[in-house]
Amino acid sequence: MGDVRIPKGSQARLTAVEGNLVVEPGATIEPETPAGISVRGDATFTGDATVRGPFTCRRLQARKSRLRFESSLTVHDAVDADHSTLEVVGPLTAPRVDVDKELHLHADSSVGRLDVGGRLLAEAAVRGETLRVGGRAEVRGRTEASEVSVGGQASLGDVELARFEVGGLGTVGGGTIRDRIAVGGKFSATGRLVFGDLEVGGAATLEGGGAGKKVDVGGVLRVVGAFQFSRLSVGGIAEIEGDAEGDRVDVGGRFWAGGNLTLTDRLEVGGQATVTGRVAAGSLEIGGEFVARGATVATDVEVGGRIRTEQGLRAVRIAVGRNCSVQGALIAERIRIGRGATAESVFGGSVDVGPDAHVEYVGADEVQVASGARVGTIEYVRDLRIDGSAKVDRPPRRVATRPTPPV
Amino acid sequence: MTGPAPERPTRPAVNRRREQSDLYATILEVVKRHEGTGRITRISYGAGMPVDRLRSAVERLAALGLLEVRPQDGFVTYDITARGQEFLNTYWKMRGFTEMFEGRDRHRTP
Repeated sequence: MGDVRIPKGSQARLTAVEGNLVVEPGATIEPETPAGISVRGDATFTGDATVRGPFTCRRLQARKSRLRFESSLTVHDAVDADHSTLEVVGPLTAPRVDVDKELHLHADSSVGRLDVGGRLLAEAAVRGETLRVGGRAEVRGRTEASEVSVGGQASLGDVELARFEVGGLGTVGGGTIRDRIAVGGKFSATGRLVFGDLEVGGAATLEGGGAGKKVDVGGVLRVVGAFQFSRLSVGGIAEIEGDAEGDRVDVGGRFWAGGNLTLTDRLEVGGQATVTGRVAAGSLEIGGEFVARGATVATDVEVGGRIRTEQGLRAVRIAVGRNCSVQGALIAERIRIGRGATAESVFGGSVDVGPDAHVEYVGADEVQVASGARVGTIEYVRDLRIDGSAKVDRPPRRVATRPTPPV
Repeated sequence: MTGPAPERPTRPAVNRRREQSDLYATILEVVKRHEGTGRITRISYGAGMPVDRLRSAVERLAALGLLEVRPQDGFVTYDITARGQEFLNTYWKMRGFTEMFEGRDRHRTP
């Protein structure tokens, strides 16, 4: 049969085993030639063992063992290590690897389907089909796989993945995760990341900017660098330190962009939205304060709290909320200034100044000023209606064409 | 040996109840990775918990309908239930709010 058994605690020298190999606890195996040890059948380890040269077998089985392979390990069928720890100093090559406790890889490895119950530590690159780890995974080299799924914490270098799913904390260097990132707690990428969808329960940080599709973060998103996306949805706070470009932004709390913001669809922010550059968007709905260098909105603007721009806010329709404060020009076909609101200059087709509102300048085709409101200067083209209790500081002036905004 | 799944709270301000929810989330995340094939020892390696402590936790989770216990090939395996997934979703959503409250304030202007 050609089977070989290495007795407990012994040191053996091997070249080739024609049948199966059984290694008892405490054994050390050395190769007789630099080519290493080749086992035609299965290698079974029943306890701790060390192999001091390249090792090849059909199937590797271990139970309650700590195995150390000091050179390469090549397994043609599968590695199955029950209640065991496996350390491989040279490259590991196997189509299927199943280790209960811990797998420690020192060199670039190719693992096919990898399943580790406890911890995976790879000090070099890992290439595989699916990498599943119950507890913690750390890969210091590049990871290439269709799926990486980790229950606890995953810390990877550069990646080329289709899916990355982590229960707790997930960190990658940069690269591509083309389908989906799903992390329960916190996710961070230290380099530029190109990805499909990103779903994070807690916080996400992209330190090298990136590009993705749907981004859904429960708590806080922070991006350093330019960021492209289709839809950005953040429950709490979103900060982008660079230009941002996408279809739609929906932030429950506060949004901050340190650059220009370009959206084909809606910017919707529950609290404060600050953009240090210009905003171009389909529509704008801000519950609190809106601050930007300037903004051009294709349809509607609705702001509940405060508007502050240097270069004005231009849209089709603008609704300024009750007691809202506006700094910078408003330019739109239809503008409604809410009750008690204040504004500097308003240019439009039709402008309604609400009750008790205060506007410094209104230049429009049609102007209506409600009770208790006060306007500094009015220039109108067609129609002017002023409530009896409203006050206009200077006599209204009828002009031939709609006044041109200064911005 | 292995690290816990979610970060364990270190502040005593949030009491034992919080720690327990972290523990349960850790276990459920590990169970989820094994897609119904995880045995108690395998889960213990992932969750970084001794088997005896883990056993009482999974019994509680099963009693609450968050875990399903399945006999398979003479062994008992565990799988997460729809309710368990709902717990995880809620747990991480709550962590999202916590992140928001702890997020630093930035008041920059153009």
